[in-house]
Amino acid sequence: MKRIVLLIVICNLLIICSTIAFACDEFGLNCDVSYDSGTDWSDSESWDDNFNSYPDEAFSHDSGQAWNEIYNDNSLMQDPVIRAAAFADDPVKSSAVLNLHPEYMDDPAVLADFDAALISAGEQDVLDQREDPEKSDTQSRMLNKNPAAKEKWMKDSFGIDMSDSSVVLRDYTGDSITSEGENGLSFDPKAAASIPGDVWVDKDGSLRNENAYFNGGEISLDDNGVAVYKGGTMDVQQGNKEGFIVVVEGGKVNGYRERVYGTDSRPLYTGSFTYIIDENGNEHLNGNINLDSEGVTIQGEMYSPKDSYFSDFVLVGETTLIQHADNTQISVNGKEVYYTQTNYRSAGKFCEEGYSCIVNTPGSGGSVDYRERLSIIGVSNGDMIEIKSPVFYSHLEVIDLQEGSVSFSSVNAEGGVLGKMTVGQGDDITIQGNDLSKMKAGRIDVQYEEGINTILHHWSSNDYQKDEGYFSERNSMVSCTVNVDCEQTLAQSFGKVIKDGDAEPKTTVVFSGDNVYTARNMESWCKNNGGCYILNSRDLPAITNSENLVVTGHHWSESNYVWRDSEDVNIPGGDEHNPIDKVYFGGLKGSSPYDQLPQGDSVETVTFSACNTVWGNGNTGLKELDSYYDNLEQVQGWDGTAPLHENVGDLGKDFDEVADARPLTYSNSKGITSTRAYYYKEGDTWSYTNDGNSCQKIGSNIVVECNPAVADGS
Amino acid sequence: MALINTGKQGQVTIFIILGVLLLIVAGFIFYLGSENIIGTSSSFETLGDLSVMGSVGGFIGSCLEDASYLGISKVLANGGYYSLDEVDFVLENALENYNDYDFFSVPYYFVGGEDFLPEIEDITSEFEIAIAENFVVCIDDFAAYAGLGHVFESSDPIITVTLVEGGSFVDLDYYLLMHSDDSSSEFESTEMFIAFDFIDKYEQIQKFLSRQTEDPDAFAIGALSSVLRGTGYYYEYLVMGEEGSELLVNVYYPVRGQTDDFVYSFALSYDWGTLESNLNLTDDEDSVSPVILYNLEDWDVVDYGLQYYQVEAKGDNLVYVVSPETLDIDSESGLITLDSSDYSNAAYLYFIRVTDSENRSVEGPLLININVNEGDLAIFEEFENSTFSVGDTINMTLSVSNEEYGPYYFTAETGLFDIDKQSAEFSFEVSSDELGSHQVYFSAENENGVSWMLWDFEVVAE
Repeated sequence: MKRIVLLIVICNLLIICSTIAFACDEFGLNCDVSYDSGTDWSDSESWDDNFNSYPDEAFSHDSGQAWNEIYNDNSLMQDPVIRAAAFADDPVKSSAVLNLHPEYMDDPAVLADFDAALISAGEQDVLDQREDPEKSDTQSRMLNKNPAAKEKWMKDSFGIDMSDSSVVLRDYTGDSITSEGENGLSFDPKAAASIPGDVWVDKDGSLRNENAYFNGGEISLDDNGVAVYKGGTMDVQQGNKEGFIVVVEGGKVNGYRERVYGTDSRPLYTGSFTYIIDENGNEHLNGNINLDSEGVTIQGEMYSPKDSYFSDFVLVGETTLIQHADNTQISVNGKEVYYTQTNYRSAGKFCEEGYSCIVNTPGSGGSVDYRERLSIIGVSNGDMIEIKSPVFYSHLEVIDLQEGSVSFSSVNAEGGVLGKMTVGQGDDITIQGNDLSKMKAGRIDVQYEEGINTILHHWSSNDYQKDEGYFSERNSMVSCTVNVDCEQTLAQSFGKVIKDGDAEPKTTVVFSGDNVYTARNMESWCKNNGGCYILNSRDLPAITNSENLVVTGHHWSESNYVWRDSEDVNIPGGDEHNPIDKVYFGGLKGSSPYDQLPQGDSVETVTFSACNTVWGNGNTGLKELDSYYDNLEQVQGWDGTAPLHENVGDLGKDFDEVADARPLTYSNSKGITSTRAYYYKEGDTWSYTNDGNSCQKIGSNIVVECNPAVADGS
Repeated sequence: MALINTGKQGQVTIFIILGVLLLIVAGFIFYLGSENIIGTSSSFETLGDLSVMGSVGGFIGSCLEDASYLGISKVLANGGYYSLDEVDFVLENALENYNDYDFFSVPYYFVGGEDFLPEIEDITSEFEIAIAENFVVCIDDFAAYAGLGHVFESSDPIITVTLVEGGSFVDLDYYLLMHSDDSSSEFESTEMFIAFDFIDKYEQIQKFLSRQTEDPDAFAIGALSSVLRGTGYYYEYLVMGEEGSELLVNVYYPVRGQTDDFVYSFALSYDWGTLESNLNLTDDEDSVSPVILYNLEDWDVVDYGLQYYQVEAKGDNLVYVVSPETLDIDSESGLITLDSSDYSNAAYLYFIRVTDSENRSVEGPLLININVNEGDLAIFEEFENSTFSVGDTINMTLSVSNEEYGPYYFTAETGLFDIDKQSAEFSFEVSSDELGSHQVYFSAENENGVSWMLWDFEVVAE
């Protein structure tokens, strides 16, 4: 079709030339350069006939009269010879006639003549404006003074619509045209036409289709017939259609995702890449892609499921992700690796069965030196994942590796490797050239299934926490069987085991705060009360066999986790808290298996040495504890601020013992008084008391006398 | 001939007593216990002075026990060898004075991608040599019995170690003739059982090395932790050598009733030289000459104005950094300068990091107790009592010696009691809940500011 149009254009140009410079036969051939018709143009009665026969001579003899002929009979513009003469004499007037009858351009010859006239006028405009910049722009007037003609021409030539008659176009060259307006751009109409879907130029100058709006910049066509968009901003639209593909060079793309908020559902990609929307509405990008709001650059191929957060995407093939803040590099080589840096504890929900997944959770601290979790889950399909990072990760995990490998290197600020660990299937865990303390991690866990057992390999450090002396830091990775001996093994290797006879300890003390006063104070109690495992929160197992848990740490009101400050925080010196090593009161799908208190059917009491852990309204994490521990009977903690130096004492007191005991109160430096308080469970109901006499049922304001039978367990 | 060890005279008396008991039970004793507890049986024919002869029998048994423990311990620490003279690949002088030995060299079990674990029979022979030599040292030609009028004639001891599942038998073949003017006795052999299952442990290391040779380029730490899973044993490794390519591995076998574990040590060597460019090991800190940050003593600041604290550290071209950076430290000398007038009285925790020219660093906490008082703030009087018993009723008053600057507003940071903010009186009954050590932070505020005191006390059982 394009060839036919081109042929017609050439033929018409030949006709035009023949009528201007010389006479040709009716087919525009056999021209005689010396031809002169000898017409008597002074005879008004024969003017019409002569005009029809020799329009070129008519325009040169009396242009005004010639145009009167056309104005009187616009259909003359359908005559190729007259039309050629008209365009040659005055392309703007010619355009005006076509503007009155855009239907004439249903004839491809007319359309082609108009197109050729536009190009010719544009070239002449360039020449003219070099000599006189003030000279009027003929091409612009042809188009923009004649909106119907312009619209017809764009639509019929390129399939491009106009949203509005006020759309201003200029500088058409045949390969490019520029739209004016706030979002005007230069585009190759053929390139624009290649973008799937209906395309139009909006009155703000943007080029639009149902998939995207192109604001500013430039659109051209690459060798593969794919539109290349440079320098502007592409706003991808909701409801975009299958097969949308654009090559972006140095521009911006506001993509579309259903779960991106705050940016009009348009995640911002910048860089140079191919952008495709597939049949499911997923975004695919391949190239050098910056996700500035996420602080990462991706070199390679990625795609983002339509219903994912902007911080969730899939790295495809051989691709590298670079974090801007710290230059962490995550390289994948394989099939598809799911990656999420969504700052939720449950971020792992993005992972898909059968695919490798990287969960890279920043946490709430806001420090670029520290991130909460780097978890590589379910490595499959032979994927190879290589990570180099200067960041300290509270949790560094490789969970359920099926087929493939993970290598993690801690690097210094200059990128030099301090420590490297590689993990393959099963216990294929290797170290090259370093001791484990070089790994910047609070704890490292490698967990996999072996037959019916779940095996854990574990190491922890004391770095980045305030107390580095109470627990041993052993340069070895220990292995244990989850559900069998991990609590004992981890306590023996990294914590303390305080025995009372030969029986397994009944109490697990979890140190998850800044100082070890409470844990240390409990040691003597443990010797006479059934023994204790004393564990840093970084060494918590998944399962406990203990009856009592004692948990220390910071705790914010109405939160369901305890935490510690990082070592560099100096609250008296005016610093803000930097909560690290969070220990939650229960599990959550998609979370780390080791960011929570150990689960156990045997757990009957949980005792906190932490602020705001037992309130009258129950909003202290009680709900999570209750659902986490089936046999939980009692929770004790502080209604208000807990003291820094506390000896918790006997656990599992009944009401009488609480009533008989001295009420424990504490006034902090601001003079605010807090009390040690208790939750007791009666049936499915929990009650609050701080004196063992008056019990308030959680969820109501009813205060009743405490029922001794409850706490007695009778 | 060894010199008489007079220190053993006391032991001799004990052995005489034990010897009588030994003979009464027909020369048969069996000690039962776990892992390392040793059982013995012996043959002893005697005529005459039963007490001395019984004592000698006990002494021999005791020496065999000690020698067995020491011999096995030493062979394990030497990677299965009593002497490393004939061993081809040895990590020499791995650590000085490590494990209480004057020298410490261990054989490579893995070098050049190959496994050099000695045969278990060879290690057993090394046990025998080590036990025999330690036995001779312990017997010391019966110097402990010198002066009691007995003559001892003996053969060289022959030790035979038989490894079985669950432990090891140690047989002593040792002819001893002991005689005096009126008696004589002979000793020929004794046997003991050590509940130290070396076969089990050897097979664990063998299994690890088998895995290691499958992947010779990296330390198979996962395989090592796997073979020890569920055993109660643990290990550590030390990175040595310029490229970190030499590893010293120590596997610890807890021994009930003994202070020290059995430590099985061996070395692993890797070809990591080519990794250097890839890994760019810039923090190749080794254990031999680390940066040392000497213990940071708490800094008590009690005077106004500029105060100084010298951080003591050892290393090359050290750079000192403090975190948070609100504290001024000279990065080259480690001298901290603090103007106490910029601080309110309180305890402040900082962290000092020292880094050397090879980017190796050490960090430690520095607690600064600022309690500047020119006499116009409360001057606390120390409590006389710092130990209380369960059941005690405590009625105390925090006293200050300069009441004239009052009134004061008192606080106490503890969950044990509330302090009266005006009178500074507090009281509580000491219950068993409070067993252990406690620390209470008292402060007093007047119109001039705040001063504070820490009170340490302990609660003991009734």
